[in-house]
This record gives sequence, structure tokens and C-alpha cells, in this order.
Amino acid sequence: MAHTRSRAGAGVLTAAVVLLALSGCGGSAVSDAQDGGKGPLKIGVIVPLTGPVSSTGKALRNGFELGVKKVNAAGGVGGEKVRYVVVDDAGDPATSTQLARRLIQQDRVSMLFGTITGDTAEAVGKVADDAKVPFGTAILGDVERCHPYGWGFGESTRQLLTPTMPKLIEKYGPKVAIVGSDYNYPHFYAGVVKELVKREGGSVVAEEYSPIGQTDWQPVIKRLKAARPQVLMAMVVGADAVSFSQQAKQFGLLTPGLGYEGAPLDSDYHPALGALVNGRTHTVRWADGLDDPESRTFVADYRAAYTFNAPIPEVAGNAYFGVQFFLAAAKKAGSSDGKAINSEIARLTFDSPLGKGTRFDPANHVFQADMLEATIKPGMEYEVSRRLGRIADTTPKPGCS
Amino acid sequence: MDVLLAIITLFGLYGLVTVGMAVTFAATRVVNLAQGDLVMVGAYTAAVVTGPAFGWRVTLALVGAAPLLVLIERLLLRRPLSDPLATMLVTWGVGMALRQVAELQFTSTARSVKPPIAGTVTVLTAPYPAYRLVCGLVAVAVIGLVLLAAYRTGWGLTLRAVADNPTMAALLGIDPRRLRTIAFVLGGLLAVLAGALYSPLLAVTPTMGFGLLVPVFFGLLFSRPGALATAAAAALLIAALSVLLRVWMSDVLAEVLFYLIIVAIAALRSRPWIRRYSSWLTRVRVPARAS
Amino acid sequence: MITQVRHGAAVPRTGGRGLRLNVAVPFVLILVLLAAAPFGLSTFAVATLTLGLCNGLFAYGLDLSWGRAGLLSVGHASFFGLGAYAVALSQEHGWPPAALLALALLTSVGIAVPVVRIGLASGVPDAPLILLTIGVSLLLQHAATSLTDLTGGTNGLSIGGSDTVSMYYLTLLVVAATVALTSVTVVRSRFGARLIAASRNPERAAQTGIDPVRVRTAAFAASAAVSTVAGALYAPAAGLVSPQIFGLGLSTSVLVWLALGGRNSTLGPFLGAILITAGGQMLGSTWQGWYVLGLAALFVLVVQVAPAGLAGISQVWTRGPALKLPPAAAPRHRKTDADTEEGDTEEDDAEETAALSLQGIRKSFGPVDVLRGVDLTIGNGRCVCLIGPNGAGKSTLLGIVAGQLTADTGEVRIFGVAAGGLPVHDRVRLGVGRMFQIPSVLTELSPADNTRLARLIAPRHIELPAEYDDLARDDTGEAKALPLADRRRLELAMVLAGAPRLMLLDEPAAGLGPDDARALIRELKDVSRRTGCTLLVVEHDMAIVRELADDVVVLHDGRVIAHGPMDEIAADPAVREAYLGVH
Repeated sequence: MAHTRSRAGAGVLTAAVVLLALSGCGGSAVSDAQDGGKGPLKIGVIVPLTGPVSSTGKALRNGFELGVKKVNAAGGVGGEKVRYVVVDDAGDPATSTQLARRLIQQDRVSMLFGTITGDTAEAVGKVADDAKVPFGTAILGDVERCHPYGWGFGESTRQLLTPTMPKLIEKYGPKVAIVGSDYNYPHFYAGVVKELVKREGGSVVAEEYSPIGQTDWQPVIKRLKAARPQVLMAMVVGADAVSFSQQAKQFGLLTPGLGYEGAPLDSDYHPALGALVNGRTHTVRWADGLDDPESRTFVADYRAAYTFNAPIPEVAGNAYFGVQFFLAAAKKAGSSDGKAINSEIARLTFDSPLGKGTRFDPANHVFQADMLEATIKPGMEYEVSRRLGRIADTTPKPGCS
Repeated sequence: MDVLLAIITLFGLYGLVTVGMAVTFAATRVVNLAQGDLVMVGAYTAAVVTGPAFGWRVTLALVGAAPLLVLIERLLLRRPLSDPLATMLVTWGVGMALRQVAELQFTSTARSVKPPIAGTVTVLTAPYPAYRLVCGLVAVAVIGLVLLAAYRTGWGLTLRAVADNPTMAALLGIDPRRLRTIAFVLGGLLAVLAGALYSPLLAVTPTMGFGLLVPVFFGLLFSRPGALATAAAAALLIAALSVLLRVWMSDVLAEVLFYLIIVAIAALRSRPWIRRYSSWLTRVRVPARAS
Repeated sequence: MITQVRHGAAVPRTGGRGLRLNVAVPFVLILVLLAAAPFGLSTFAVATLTLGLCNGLFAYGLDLSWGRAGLLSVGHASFFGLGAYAVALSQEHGWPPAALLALALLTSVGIAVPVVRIGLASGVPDAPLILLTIGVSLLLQHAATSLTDLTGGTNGLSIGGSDTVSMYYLTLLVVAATVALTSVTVVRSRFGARLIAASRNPERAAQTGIDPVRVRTAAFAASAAVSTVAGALYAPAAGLVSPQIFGLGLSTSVLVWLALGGRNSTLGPFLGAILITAGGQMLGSTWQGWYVLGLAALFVLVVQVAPAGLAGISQVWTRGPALKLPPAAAPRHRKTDADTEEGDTEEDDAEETAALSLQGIRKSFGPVDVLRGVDLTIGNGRCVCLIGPNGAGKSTLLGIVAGQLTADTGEVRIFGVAAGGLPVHDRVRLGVGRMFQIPSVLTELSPADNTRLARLIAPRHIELPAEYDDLARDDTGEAKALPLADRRRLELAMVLAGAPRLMLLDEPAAGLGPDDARALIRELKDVSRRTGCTLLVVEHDMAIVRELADDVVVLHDGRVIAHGPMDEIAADPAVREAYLGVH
């Protein structure tokens, strides 16, 4: 029985040590209280820095960092340098939620920024709403539900497709096929594609979804091929974008005569898919080939700071200009109180390479900015071949108005 | 016809990895959960080393991975071998480390490998990508060679003897330690080969092996320990099932049905359970006969 | 008389209470420590601790199946996810949380029971169990992904919680209650003792009268239920439930937490889960990739250096076997046992039926007919040796009587009861005791715990003869360290503790030295004389047969060719032919 006691004693000891280690963070949850409105501005950045989407997460962080650096070089906000904390959610929405709560409660951030995947964006959006802290994301402008405190600097699906769809149909033909990874967003994307194809008098001849992580695309490609599409809209993401495109090429589906647009054309995949997508056009909000001084400086800074020689992901540009938008709003609010900044964000109009007088639409929190048509060049650059101008998207969404 | 070719291609991939896992399992009773990540190692070698011709890159992957495998086996798998479960967990940790090293080294951005043979060949009126076919045929040939070695050579006999009864095999003068190392390296190399060979068909990412683990694990669990032929057969079954279902219905539905069938087969395979049901049936029938 | 009973009862009970106190005091201490946590920790640390507790309860739940019941599940996230989705769905759609939770618990148990039954139906449950649990969890993940209207698809459902501190206390309360409840009912109870036997040595457990399948199924179901509760707590703590929760990633993570913390321990799973959860939240974001790499390295190291996990490290400075029977398994000493026993003996005497009667037993393995119609009747109290050349079917016949094997056709009656369809443990209740060719005991338990276990489950309480006291009091080492002769004696003691009336022995003297063998034979004869127990012994050694047997049965080619006293048998020409033909 003596050993039972000593073992249990060891248990108590270890439990105490663990708690002690935890208490290294200091403070007391019971007496913790919110204090807002004072002190320097602090931003919490939640991005996946490990796991399958870490490359995109790092691009977002890099763009964000350079954006803050630029603002700080120009004097910061309210006379003080803006500070930020970067945390890694590994792409897991439960971790994102935890980290968002921690950034708000412990690090006392006034704004949140980041997230790559839709589920993590949704998760942080909820926490931000509850804590009344503005949250900016750079990759997608379309969250399913509009969050009063959520602001997306990416393009919305309609902004992306409204100028693209008619052009593709005009150039390649009216028969459109859709292929997507099986999660929420591609289904939504397909819905918008169908709507626009119908408006243009085309027809959707095939619609295929495959679970994320598919390695063998042969059956899907065979079905798509049998439908004889003239345009293929692909929302297959991550590694699947690469394996799908490669196999589509090998099976003779992806020919120069087929219109191809969607996620696989993003600059993230260019190192892997360059040969397959060179020469095609891709609708984007920002491209590293954008020829204005601000973008050029950014691209040069980015390449220098992160020794990066692939095409710079669009998300980095969105984050770079997005955080400047946020900080401009904070400057106007003159406080680090989330609620005050949020109402300034809703009101602000801001000039940047993303467009003159960019602003958020109150009905859906979609960023009203310009779109570009980039032509993918073998020389590791997305060259802007056509400016599409401001693409308005004012379709109301539940949650905001 | 192209369905058959699709099955051959997928079987080549699953088969190499499953048989490799089965070889390791036969000799060491350890399920090598890092097997999928060894596929990744092979694929990265083919993707990163861009200089030499593809064939040389595959060879390089094998030559380069062999010392790594020996090292893993010697350093990490020796001590806990008494407990196969603990060893399985070690391999899980090894896989995790391999994935993470790849991510730190090469980032999570997907890479691709240009197929060494372009164009299509026509097999009985069905056009098929040439490299896909070559890849499948090479893999099937290698699986065939491994099976041949297992059932026709002294080494294979030794392996099967150890799989069947390690203590007895030790009494017969077989050095189980050496055999274990050889089996672990061989099993791992089959996965590395699969990765290098199939890299032009796949997206090369640090996590690419994780997705392979489920079908391969299913294959291993359906096979009889030590019987490599059953492992190959199970891989064939799983590849065929996966391809056929997706030919007949959408990918999403096919996946649901695939898991349902796997669960059903697993349930039906525990035969005493069937027997009990059939004995209930006979019990019901007995009074009928009496009346 | 009354005082005597009380006195007799008092001694072990104090011991039991003392032991229980030893377990309860640290439990309360840790609880107090945890309850004080929000006063010393920041809000974020408390939130992390909440999450760690949920994950810990999940790992603890898994331990009930992987550690305690020896059933490896690679899809335990199914149960965890069901609990989490129950809470999330109730909040999203305004459905009553209690009803949904009850539904989730029912579904979990409803999935767990058939899954584990199917698994246990095959000889080695690991492979089918892993297949089924993975399959089920992936199917559930699919359902959660596809039923977008109900579950929000891949974006999941977010759950607004109350403030961190009250959430923490709620979690702590439920975790403590669940651990206490399962501790009392599953782990530290007599059920726990049965579970140890059923998972470590199902063969011996069944032979002691335990239904191993039932016990392990119950433990697996409890494990699923605890995991569901953990999931329900996790949902508000995590703030979001998405289909990833059913994924293989979580199912394997929980295995890692448990392996790191230590199986077969109450504290271990919590330790492992809290450490990794807190580490991930605190270091993960700054060390990033290197943290994951470090975790992998740490994990490999722990499995190498301390295979019993962190909780197992403390065993370095404790003595005795790592595995112990729960204190509740201490047998209740009742002086009245002696009286009941006398009554039983009377009853036995009243029975005039044969101890064993076999009729037309046939058994074939595939194309090989091993038994071709065996008819055999053994009178009550007789000592019968079963001999025959190799391959005659002796062990098969013994297996059919014990219940390990089922005859293809034929009737087995044990003390007049038709036993053909009865499983092993039910035959034990009829009075069958069995010893195996290689002594089958619970090698990880101490010899004392082995005898305790046998007496705990025994249908009638009898006192073991004093000559087994050395074993019944040996708490210091594991039974596997015993020499063969002592292990054989331990097995005999375990069988005797069950008050057998028909003992089946398969070459009991195999591997023993001549002295040990002689002592064993003497002991067996003594048992037979003292308790009136019938013996059916498979034996090759004619010297032993001559000494032991009242009657000898000769089995040849799947049939009984002779049955009678030794001298008669020795003279039987058919027997001579059978033996000479083979040898």
C-alpha cells in the first residue's frame, strides 16, 4: 500500500508542477477585466504556419508585416508604433477560436487579422463579433454569413466571376463544366457560376466534386471529358489543384482549346503548374505584375525580405493593402477601442493600388475594389493584361444589415 | 478497358505501399505508420533533384533512403520491439517528424514532377496516358518480383518462417535482428519507390502520404500476417473497389459507399459472428422440422 | 458467533477502506488544486486548462478501452465528435440539450456495442476493431460534411459559451464527476477486477467464470460514453465544432496523448493531454514547425525511454507489479462460508447423475475429422485419464468439454445439464475447472491478486488449503516471474478457488521435474478425495496414469476404443495395436 501512496503522491506533485508551469503566464482569471481604448495599437494575426496551408498562411503574414512596417515607418498610429502578435492555428478552427480568444483576453489586441481556410475564418469571425473586435481577412471576401466585425479584403465570388464568365464563354464557348473539392465554398462557387452562365445563355454540362486529398482523378476527368465542355471552372484547392490539373493534362482534358479558370491558376500553384497554365488569363484583385509604384516597392521589399522568387501570392498583396486600410481607420478612430475602430472601418474610403476610394458595402461587408485580368507569364510573373475596374457586389447577406 | 487500366495504376500505388508495410509487419510485427511519409520522401527526391534523368532520380531516392531506413530501424525501433504497439507509436512519431522536416525544408507549397514519358498510348481502342501505364506496369512488376522472392527464394522462406514463429526461427539459426533490419528497409524502400515512381501523377506535398495511409492500412488489416500475397490481393481489392465505385457514381457518394463496404467486409469477416447468426437460423428452423 | 463474524470482516475491510482513502485523498487534493487555478492563472491559461481537461477526459475515456480493456480503437473521435455535435446542434437549432446529449450517448453506445462485438468475435480483435472504428469515424465525418443544412458543412457550427471561469468550473465538475463515477463503477470495482482478467487473459478469465466478451464490451461502451461526455464539454470550450472533429487526426492525437501520459492510469491521460494541449497553445504559435518537430522527437523519446508513459515514470520508485487488482476485489471473508460448503457437499451427494456424459461427439477441422463419434460417461467423483497416441483428438475432446470448441454434432451433458451450446464461463458455473498444458495465469498480476481474482468470481466461497498460503500472500512480484512449478500450483489454486466439481487437465505434469510432478499428482489425488471433484486428465506419462487414474479411457482415431481400469486397458489388444501402430 505504501507504493500506492507514493504513486498518488507523485501524481499530486506532477499536477502541481503542471499548474505552476501554466501559472507562468501570471494574472488571475477571476479578476481579469477588459480595459479598452488606451495604450498602443496592437493587432493579433492568426495564420496557419504549420500544416498543409502554411505556405499561404506565411504569405499572408509576410504581406501583413510589410504593411505594418510601412505604416510604422510613416509614424505609426496616434504617434505610436503599431505592434502585432503572430500566432499559428495550423488550420484547425478549434485552435483558431482558442487563439482568437487568447489574443483578445491576454494580449489585449484591438484588431484581428488573418486566417486562410473558410472554417477558421468563420471561427475567428464569431469570436471577433462576441468581443467586438474588428477582424480582417485577406483571402476571401465571401463568408457564408456576414459578421458585423468581419471584413474581407479578398474578392467576393461575384466580383471574381462577373467579369470572367462572359469573357470565357465568349472566347471558348457556352458549354461550362464545374469541378470542385467537396467542402462548403466550392459548392457556393458553383452556385454563382451556374447563375452567371445562365445569364450569358450558356449551359453547365457537368458538375463534379471530389473529397479533399483525392489522388486518382481518372473517373472525374473521364466524366468531365464525356460532357465535352468548352470552359472548365475549377475550385479544387491545395495539393488537389496540382494533381487534378496534372492528370487533366495527361488525360487530354486540359488542352489549349479549353477555357480553364479557378483556384489552380492562383500564383500559389505556379511553381508546380507553371507549364500547364502559362499563357492563360486569371482574374485577380492584385497581381505582382501590377505596375504602380506602391506595388512595385512592395514586390521588391517582399522579394528582399523573404528571399522569395516565385510569383508573389495575391493574398500577400491583399494583406499588405488591407492592413493599411485597417490602420487608416484606426488612425481616424483615434483610439484602440475595437468598437470605435470598427465603425470607422465601415465608413472609411481609402485609395490604394486595389482601387481609388475602396470601401466596404454595408449590406454584405464585401470590399468594393477593382479587379484585374492577369496573364500568366513563364517569367514567374502575373502580368496585368487588362484592368477590369470597380466590380460592385452589393448582394445583401444575412448577418449585417 | 480504361477502367481496368485505372485499377492497374491505382493497384500499383496501393500495392507497393501495402506490400511494403506487410513485409515490415511480417518480420517485426510492427505496423509502420511512417510508410505513407516514406512515399513522400521518395516523391520529394524525384521532385527536388531536377538534374538527372527520371530513372536516375528514382534510383537516387532508393539509394538515399536506404541508410535513413537503416538508421531509423537501428536507433529507434530496437528498444521497444518487445511491445509492437509502442513500436507502432514510434513509427507514428517518425512519420510526424519526416512530414515536419519536409515542411520546414520545402514549405507546404505543392510541387510537381514532369512525367518522363509524355503522350498517350492506345490500348485496345482506349487511349491512356503513356506514363500512367508504364508506372502501373512497373509497380505491378515490382510487386510480382517481391512476391516471387517471398515464395520462391530462401530469403522469402526465412521471412515467412519468422513471420510464422519468431522463436522457432531463432532456434533454427536465423538471426532475427538482421532479418528485421532487412525487412524494414525493404518494406520502406517499396514505399519510397512508390513515391518516386508515382510523383508525376501526384502533387508532391509534405502531407501527401497521410492520405495514402487509410487505404493501405485497410489493405494490411484485410491480409493475413506474413502472407504477402494476401496483402497484394487486399490492395488489389481496395484499388478495384475504389475505382469501380467512382466509375459508377460521383466521387462523394463513392467514398461513403467505399467506407460502408469496408465496414461491412470487416464485420462479415469475423466468421464466428456469421456462424452465430446462422446457428440462430437453424434454431428457428428446428421446431419447424419437428412439427 | 456474531462478534466473530464482525471480527473476521473487520480486518480486510479496514485494509480496503485504507486503500480507498489512499486513492481518494490525492484525488481530492488535485481537485482542490485545480479548483484554485482560476485565482492564480490568467484567463487564457484557464481556457487552455479547460480545453486540456476536456482532452484529458477524452484520453481517459480511451484508456478505458485501450488501457483497461485492451481494445485499440483508431476511431474514438467518432464518440467525441458525437458529443460535441450534440451540444453544437442544440445551440444552433434551439433543441433541448439534454435530449440531444442523451441521443448522442445512446448513439455512441449503439455504435460501440456492435463494433466491439464484431471485433471480439474474431480471435485477434485488433484488426477488425481498427478497421471498423476508422470506417465509422470517416463515415460520420462524411455525414457532418454533407448535411450542410444541419451541421453547417465544413465551416462547422460555432458555440457561444459563457465566461471562461464558469465554463472552467463546469468542465472541472463534470470531469471530476465522470472520473469518480467511472472509477467507482468501472475501474476500482469488482467489475474492474473482472475487466483486468478479461483483457489480460481472456482464456483464464472465461475459465474462472467471467464472460470476457461481455465485460470487455461493457468497458468499451463505457469508454465510448465517457468520450461522448468529453466531446460535449469540448464543444463550448473550443467554440467551434467542424467535421474535422471526426477526423483521423484527432483519433490519432488522442492515442498520442494517452501513450505519452500513460495507460492504465487515472492521472496519466490527463497529464498527457493537458501537457500537449497547453504546449501547443503556448509554444506552438511561436516555435511553429520546430514545435511540431520537437513534439515528434519527444514522443519518440518517451516511447523509447518510458514505455509506460509519464505516469509510469513514478513506478520507478515503487515496488511490486505495475498492474494491481482494485481494492474492491478483496474477497469478503465470511465464516459462514464453511457452513454453506457443508450444505453444498450434501447437495452433491444427492446428485446421482454422471459428472460428464458425451454422446456422438464429432468434430472436424476442415477436411480433417478429428473426432468421429465419441461416447463417454464419467461417473461423479471418478478420476479418469484420457490417453491415446498423438493426434487421437484428446485435446480437442477436452476443449469441447470445456467449451473452447464446439462439437459439430453430438451432445455434451455436464452434471445432467445439456451444455453443448453453453459458453466457457457458463460451464464454469456448472462446476467445470480447467488447467492448460502451459499454465495459464494472469502473468502481469501478483500471485496474491491471481488467487484473489479467482475467489472473487467463484460461485461459492471456499477457503483455499493452507499449502497455497505462500502464493495467496505473495504481493511482491508478477506471476510471470514464478518458476513453472509454482505457476502450475497457482493455476491449480485458481481453479480450486472456484470450487470445481469437474476438473479438466491437459498434461498437468508436462515440463515439471520428477519431484514437482509427483507432488502435483499427490495434490490432485488429495483434491479429488477431499472435495469429491471429478478429474478428467489427458496424460502421456504412463507412470502418472497408473498412479492417478481410477479409470482409463483410450482415444484412437477419433473414437473411444477402450474404457476401464488400467490393468484391463494394458491388456487390451486393440489398445496395444493402436499404440504400436503409431509408436
